[in-house]
Amino acid sequence: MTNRARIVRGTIGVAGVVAVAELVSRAGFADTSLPPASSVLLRAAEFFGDTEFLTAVGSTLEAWILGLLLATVVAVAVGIALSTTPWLNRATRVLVEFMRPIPSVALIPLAIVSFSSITESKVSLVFYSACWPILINTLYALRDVDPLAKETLRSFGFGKAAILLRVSVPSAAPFVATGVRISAAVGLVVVVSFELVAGNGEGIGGYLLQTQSGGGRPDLMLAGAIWAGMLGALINVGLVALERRTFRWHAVRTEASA
Amino acid sequence: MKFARLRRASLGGALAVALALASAACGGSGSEKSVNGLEKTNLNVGVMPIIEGAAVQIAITKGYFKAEGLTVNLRQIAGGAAAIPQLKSGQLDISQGGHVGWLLAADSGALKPKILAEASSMTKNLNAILVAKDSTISSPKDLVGKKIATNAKHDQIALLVRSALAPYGVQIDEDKDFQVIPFPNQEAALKEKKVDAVVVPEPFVTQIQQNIGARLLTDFSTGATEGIPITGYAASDDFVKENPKTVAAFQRAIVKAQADAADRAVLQEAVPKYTKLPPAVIGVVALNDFPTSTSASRIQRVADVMRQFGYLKHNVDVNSMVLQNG
Amino acid sequence: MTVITGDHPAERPTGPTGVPGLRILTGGVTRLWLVALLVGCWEIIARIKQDAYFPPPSTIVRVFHELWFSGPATHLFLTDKALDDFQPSFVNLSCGWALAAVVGLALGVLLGRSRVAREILDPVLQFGRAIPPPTLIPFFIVVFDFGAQMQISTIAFGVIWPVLLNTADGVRTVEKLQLETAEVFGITGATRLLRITLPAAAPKIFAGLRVSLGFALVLMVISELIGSTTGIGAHLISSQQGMELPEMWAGIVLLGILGCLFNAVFALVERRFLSWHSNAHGLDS
Repeated sequence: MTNRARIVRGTIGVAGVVAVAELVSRAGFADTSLPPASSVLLRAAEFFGDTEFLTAVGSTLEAWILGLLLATVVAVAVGIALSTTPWLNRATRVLVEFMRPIPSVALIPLAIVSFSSITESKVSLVFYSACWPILINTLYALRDVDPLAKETLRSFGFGKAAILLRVSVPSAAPFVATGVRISAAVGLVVVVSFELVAGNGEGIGGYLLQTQSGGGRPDLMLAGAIWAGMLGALINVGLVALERRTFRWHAVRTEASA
Repeated sequence: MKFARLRRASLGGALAVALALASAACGGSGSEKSVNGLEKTNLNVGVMPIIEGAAVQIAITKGYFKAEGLTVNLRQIAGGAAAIPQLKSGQLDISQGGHVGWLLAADSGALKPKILAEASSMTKNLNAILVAKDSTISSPKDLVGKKIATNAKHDQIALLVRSALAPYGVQIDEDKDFQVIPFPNQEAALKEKKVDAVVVPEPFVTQIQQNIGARLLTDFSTGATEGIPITGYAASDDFVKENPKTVAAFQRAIVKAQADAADRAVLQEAVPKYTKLPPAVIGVVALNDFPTSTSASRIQRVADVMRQFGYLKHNVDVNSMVLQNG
Repeated sequence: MTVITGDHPAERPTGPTGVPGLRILTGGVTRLWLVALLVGCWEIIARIKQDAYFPPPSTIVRVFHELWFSGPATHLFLTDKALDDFQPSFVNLSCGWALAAVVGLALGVLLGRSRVAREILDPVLQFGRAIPPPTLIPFFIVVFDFGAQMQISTIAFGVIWPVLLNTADGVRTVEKLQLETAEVFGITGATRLLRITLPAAAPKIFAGLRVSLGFALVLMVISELIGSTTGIGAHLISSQQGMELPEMWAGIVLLGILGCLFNAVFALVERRFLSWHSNAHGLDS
């Protein structure tokens, strides 16, 4: 019952926003070249049948998932390694602080020049941006493991590696998963931004860029933005559901984070 | 513990999936040696979404590339500057681009380009400076201290403007006088008096005049920029060295296509295939010249203008950069 | 709703007690040796390979100095170009971030307090935060036209989400005990908000603000991609297009330094504000 109520309320919210957008765009507050919300939504719906667009979506998602998987594997491994070697941890802290704020947009030419395929360039940038949230969450979570649990295992004679695998990692896992979820969102934005800026005609961004040549079609661009937003929201929902499933034991024990 | 194992298994699975996908994605073209002895038969060619790049599409459609044993993949690029890192890394084999871009790349050492064929050169009303219908500006002299819209700084168009205005004694400070606005938005900017003048290529020259009655102040078909080369097809020096037969085959096909491009009807058929320009628009705009020969001395003019306005830091040897043709 | 936490300032080094200068020195070395090593390797490799896209750090530092810090001492050594670039960028950044912070806080409190509001708006919010900002730039151009307005709104739109979601989460998870105590004492409304709810939610709110500050830098660059003549992002783009690669690298380094700086300043402010908080143990990493 509560689930259904939640869906109903969510739909109301979406409908409300759409209605407001339609009113604003039709009332002509802004320039006349602003397309009405209804036509944007219509374009977005038309994309479902556009094979060219769907192929573009596939290309975007491919680069995204590769980069995200790579980032997860590497960042978690590095996070574990760093948390067990405090001296290295201290040394890399400055490096992380410096590299983290650099926008992936700034690195686009470097990514293009370093790889012989566009997909590899995209994956490298997703990897770069997705690493930081996961790494930081991993470090934070590993640091916060209940010392009592670790001590208990140590007193039973378990070695460092066993403690890591049996206590630290599972305990840290939910928070790392949150980091992965954040990185998933960031990664998608990075891929689309790359495609828009580097403009190679590939992916969602590339498709949208083509619509800008000549006179420019703001309704298509907005429709594409909506698709990107929808994809991101769906991915988020999917990951939250996955998290809840996998970490049910954790949610029971601590207060659940929505 | 169940969950540690679950995590390990899912990590392992994820890694396997990642590797599988990665190898699928990175599986590029294998080695192809063709009948004609071409080193490479599958080419990725970058083309800008403008009429000037029509030759590639024409050559694909009319089978000129196939006749030479080449399969060409047309890849859209936003501009010449975007092509350079892609040429360097091999994501593109050949690309169209402004000569200004090629020379800048050679100057900075970012890439050693070899220009294989000229794509376009200046004609009447191809690029123009437009002012509003009711503007008080009546001659290029009046542009002193005014705001001019361009789509990027330090590029082809900026060079044209400076070169055209120099004889009138008008000095342009790019940072102060140029307002960077993408071409599609310049019409609105002019209409709302956000800028005093716009510098645009076709189809905007025709469209802006039609839509808001803008006046053409000057074009670039006279004086120092008369008939000046604008864009050309280039590849990296290394690529040319390693694939001389392929390059020659490409040149032969392109030259044929360039000749065909002089016919507006051919363009109306080819250009909509790689841009969103409708045939009706192509029917009325001013067309560039499609040179069928490539001359280092013509491209040298671009280098000279660039040196004149300090775009080039070193003396670029244009002769060694151009594969003369015709 | 997701909880996005920020990162933490570096640990205090446990060097030898004794002469404070020595401790600072040891602290510096333990933190910086890796960076120095990597920079050194880069310098050597770059000099050998001579690739224009990866100039040696010495060149980058030189260009960096020339571009922005070789001005007169009266201007804090800033060049004209530095003033031209820094000023609009910083102004836009601050305005955009401040706007996002204010609106995000207000909306976040609203959402945190009301479950109904949360359920109504959650899909919309999840959708909004997934939209890539560059796709909205043409939209913002049409609505706001070129200039500071467009840039500030782009920044604000992209940056509001961490603040909003974290505030909502923080307000929502205020301990029941505290709320019940307030009720017993008859504290309601604005007083309860200011004295109990907000302070209790403060760590998460600050974490959200910190993350959003980092995003703001990214969005500042994105907002200057189109239609800007000056600004740090504009400099980056124009040097990319003009093939001025050491200048481009100088821009990248500048962004990294700015990010570090913002983070450090924010951490100081955060520590000041939240030193009393019992849950603030997570701030000092």
